[in-house]
Amino acid sequence: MKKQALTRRLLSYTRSSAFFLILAVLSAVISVGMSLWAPVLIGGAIDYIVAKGQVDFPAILRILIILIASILIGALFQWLLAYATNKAAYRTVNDMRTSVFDTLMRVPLSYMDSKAHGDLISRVTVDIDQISTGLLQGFTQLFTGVITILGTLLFMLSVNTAITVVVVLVTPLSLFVAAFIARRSSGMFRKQSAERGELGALVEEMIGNQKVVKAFSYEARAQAKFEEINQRLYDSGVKSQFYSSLTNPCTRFVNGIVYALVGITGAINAVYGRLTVGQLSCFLTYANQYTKPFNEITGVLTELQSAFASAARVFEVMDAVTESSDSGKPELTEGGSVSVSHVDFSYTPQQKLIEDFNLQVIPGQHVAIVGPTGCGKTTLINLLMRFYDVNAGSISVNGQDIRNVTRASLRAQYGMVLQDTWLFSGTVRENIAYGRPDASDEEIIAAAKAAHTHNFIKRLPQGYDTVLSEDGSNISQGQKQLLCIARIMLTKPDMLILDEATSNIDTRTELRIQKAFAHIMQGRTSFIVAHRLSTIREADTIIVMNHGHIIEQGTHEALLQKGGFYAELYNSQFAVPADENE
Amino acid sequence: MIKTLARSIREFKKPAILTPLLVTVEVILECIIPFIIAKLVNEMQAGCGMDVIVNYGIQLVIMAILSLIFGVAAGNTCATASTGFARNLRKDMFYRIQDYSFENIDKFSVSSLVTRMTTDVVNIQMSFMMIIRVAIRGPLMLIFSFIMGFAMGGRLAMIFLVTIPLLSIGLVLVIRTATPIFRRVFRKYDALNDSVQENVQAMRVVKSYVREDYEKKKFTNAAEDVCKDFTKAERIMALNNPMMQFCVYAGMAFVLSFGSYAVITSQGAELRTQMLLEDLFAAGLV
Repeated sequence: MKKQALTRRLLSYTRSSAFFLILAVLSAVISVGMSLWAPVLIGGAIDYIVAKGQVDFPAILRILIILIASILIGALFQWLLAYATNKAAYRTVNDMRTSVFDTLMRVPLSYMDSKAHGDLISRVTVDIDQISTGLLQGFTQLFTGVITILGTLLFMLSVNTAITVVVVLVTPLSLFVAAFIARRSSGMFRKQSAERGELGALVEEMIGNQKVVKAFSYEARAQAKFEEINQRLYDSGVKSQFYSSLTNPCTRFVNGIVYALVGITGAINAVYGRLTVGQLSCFLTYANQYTKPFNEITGVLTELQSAFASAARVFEVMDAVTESSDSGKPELTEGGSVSVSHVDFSYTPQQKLIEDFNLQVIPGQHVAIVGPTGCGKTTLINLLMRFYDVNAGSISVNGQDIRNVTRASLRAQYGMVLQDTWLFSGTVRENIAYGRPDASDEEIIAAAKAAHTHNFIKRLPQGYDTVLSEDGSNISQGQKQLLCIARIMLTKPDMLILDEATSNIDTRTELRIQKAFAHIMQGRTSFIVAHRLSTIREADTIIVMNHGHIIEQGTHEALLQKGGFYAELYNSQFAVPADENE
Repeated sequence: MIKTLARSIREFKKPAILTPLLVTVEVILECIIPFIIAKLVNEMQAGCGMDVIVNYGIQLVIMAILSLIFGVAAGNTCATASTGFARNLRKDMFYRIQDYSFENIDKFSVSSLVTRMTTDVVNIQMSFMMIIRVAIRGPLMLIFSFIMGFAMGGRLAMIFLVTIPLLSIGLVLVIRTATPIFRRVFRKYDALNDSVQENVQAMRVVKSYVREDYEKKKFTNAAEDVCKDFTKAERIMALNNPMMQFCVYAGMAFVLSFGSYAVITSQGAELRTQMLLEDLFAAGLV
């Protein structure tokens, strides 16, 4: 996106806080004006001090009253400025945040699947954060910085041109010095972090393989190698630290020189009567503070730079094509028959996955899907739930093409338990009631009982009110799956998509899951991605998939008799005697 | 713990002690510069010639150069001391870990040991550097500014004894009020960001239960809440700067009302206090 368009788009989000922005600019002008006026007033007062004992106190008093008033006004507007900018920045960012989240909720799964999740998440969190920092600093420091510089220049010019020229000419020096040092040291820092990485790798290798290291008495050599890298890291570290530590003394030096130069030229001018002592004091104050906004603005510009980069990344998400609207489409009628006819599907045009796929399922039938990894089982689920649309052919539920009904009504008829169990941070109760937040406690407990997890929940520290940590790491994988089953027990969908877990579950929990599955499948059309022999054998029909095709279909006995792919699979995976299997 | 760490300083004790000393000299020199300017103003009032002014000018430049030299020297010893300390620390750790039993390595896990030897050592190194060079600067600056203020303005500098404690109390109050709000809002903010992660990763569940609108509403409310809290906390924090500026100028106005040139240096002292306090609170917040 072009920078201009980007700026315009970013600014369009500030429109709702236009009032606060205008307030911020006004406050900035007033507070900066007041803070610039103070040294002038003080200078004026100083000029009433002619010499020891010769002080025009009434005149000074008058100035003091004005000074105090201006300070108070300045302070008030300074606070208003901070308040208004914060308000504007947070509001703007909040609008963007909710807007990008809104998009995320409406994009098709294909979008989510094609992006690295970490990247997407960081766009909504880290990048939004960056924009917030950038805007905040941009609003506050850019406004005040620019106004301060302009104001200072005007004030100085109005008092004395010669000294102004000195200040203007010398101050950029400190910026150049700082930039020069930063350029020099950045190379050193790169070298340092490369060596740090090298050291980390060595430590990882030596400690990770400590057994081997010890077995071959490699310790001494490992230490020698470690010390060699450690020494190099020390050398580059000293250099980079030294260079970066130069910045402060050097800028201070330049500032000191500026201060001295202003003092001297001012003094010379004063001697010739072109400048009063009060004006000199005013200049000294300015010289002291003039460089500050420059440093701040350079800082802000880098922040803004990254804020723009972040905004571009956020807008990219916002511009993602969302799921096509299905408003006006009818709701899916209840039932449970599914018909898949001549479906072609592939994630990428180059790689064909499902071709001419056909399947008829009558209500209440149990379909076991069997096949090697990557045969298209997950893809089939994606298509049934209409997470993805078919490329050709059609899928109908209860005689209605699923593309002609609302997605919501289609998905609401399915209950899905996958191997990857997703729990949300929240209480057990909230997690079970996820599909029906209005469910009563009795219903929730009944669902948990039906899923054989009630006793487990009761043993948790706070029972149903136990808060599950992020990703639910405080309970076992098997229990998570049982909670997911309880969720479905509560929504009582017509059709089920179940994915049997293959590993990581202890035998007792696994038995519970099997029982829960069996219980919930009663009378419901079910698609089971099956790994367990008993499930497969009891299914009404078995679909054997390989490379995206249904290669065989039928009951267990029929398929075994046929002696095809299924029979082979069965013999290699299940027919081995148990003791040999172990 | 500090004793154990300090054992790794070894041959770098000399630069480690030298650094704060060099910083002290640098700070003294820096504090003298406005003092000289103020003296110059006094001389001018008495009607001095060009030669005196030039003389003062040379003094100022020498001060600035000396201050630079000491500052650079401090940077050098500090870099040597902190980096050397880190080097020794890593070496000690590596030797120790090599002697670890396998059980110990399993307990700590290899990746955590690597982090300890890299990232954590860097953090220690940075803190060490802060202690011997940066952190010591602020208090020194304050002390010498005080001394200079008293030397210049005599009893008038007593105003610092009023404004600075007042300012400190004000700042502490503001921070004390705002910090709990910040802490709370940061927790909420983390939760908000976690919910983004949950929703992205569990998109299939959200969609299969048709909870998109529910999640949107939940998120919008949470975001609104965070936004409000942030603004509230910032509104309190925003009191800091005006308060500081007010104290600086109020102090100057006071000095002025007694008709003294000390106003020229008094401002320096107050500004430094302000910067110091800012740094301190920034550090406190982190």
